[in-house]
Amino acid sequence: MKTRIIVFPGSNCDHDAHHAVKNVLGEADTDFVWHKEGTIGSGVDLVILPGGFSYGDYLRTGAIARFSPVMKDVIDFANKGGTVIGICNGFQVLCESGLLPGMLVRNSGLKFRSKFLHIRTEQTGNRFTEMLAPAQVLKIPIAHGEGNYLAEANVINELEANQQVVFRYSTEGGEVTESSNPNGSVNGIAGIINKAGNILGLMPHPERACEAILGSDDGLGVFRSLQHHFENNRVGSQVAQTA
Amino acid sequence: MGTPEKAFYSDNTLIALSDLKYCLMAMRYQIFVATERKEAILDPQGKATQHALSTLGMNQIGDVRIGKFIRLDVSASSQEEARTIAERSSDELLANPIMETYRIVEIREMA
Repeated sequence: MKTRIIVFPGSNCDHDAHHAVKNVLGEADTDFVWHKEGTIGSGVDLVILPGGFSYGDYLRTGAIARFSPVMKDVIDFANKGGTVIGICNGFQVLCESGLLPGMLVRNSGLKFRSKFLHIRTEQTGNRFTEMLAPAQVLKIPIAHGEGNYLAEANVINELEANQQVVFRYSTEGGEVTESSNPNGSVNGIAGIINKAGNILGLMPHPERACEAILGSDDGLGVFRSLQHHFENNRVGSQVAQTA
Repeated sequence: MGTPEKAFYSDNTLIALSDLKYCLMAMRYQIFVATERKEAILDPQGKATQHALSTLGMNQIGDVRIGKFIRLDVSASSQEEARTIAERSSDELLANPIMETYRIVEIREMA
């Protein structure tokens, strides 16, 4: 699974993602791509937009990163069906880029929330969660000030109708309640995919929950799903790259 | 892309003709853009500030909304062109139409 992790000025979860995919998952062909690069390279399976504070969150979170030189190729890759995960700030960049609908605004409680919590797997029919069980609850950390997912009512209805809501904040027992929602996101949304199912954005950090010694290895399920997906779809999954 | 037409300064510095035209014809404008969250969207910063103001005794203030005030220094051949540039900038980057509106508050012609 050829994985490229985009590094923006201010990214700070890039090494966590690299460690999770390369060392824990065992995918040797995992590398960083500095945002000034004009291309992600050829034959890439997975692009990760990591967490952090790209461009110091200037203007709006993710708003400036979208204009980094490498993003043109990332957007092109995504639009051709390439697999992209945006984690935390990466999710914000995906929304600002228009690759995912809606946007992420200030947490309803105003505070930056950094803690372990639980999310419930809502959909398992996509490449990001195919190795997880339906309704499986994951123990996973969040660390964000702007994770309050927001979109117009018709967009939310469409996301729900198309089964694009992949994760919701929940209790340990898997109940989605008001108190299990850390940031005021509509319908407790923690992660969504695009309609075609090749782009995932989520606020929680699966890459930080890949080893039991660090508190949880539940996040590994997302990366194992992708590994499984690419092993089984080797021919179909490769995106034709332009030179 | 073709080679741009060339012109020379008196000291033989090579510049593109399009740049020369731009130097000679452009006016300078300062444009002030205000962005604001849509009414339906919670503004926690404004809410917290309103609480602080009421602690100060300013109980007459019922609501506070906090937006951004952005100044653009623009070179353009006319005020209309300058406005178009500011509008395009606002539509594409300065405001996110999902949650914000913007207004061009003032266009100041600079000497």
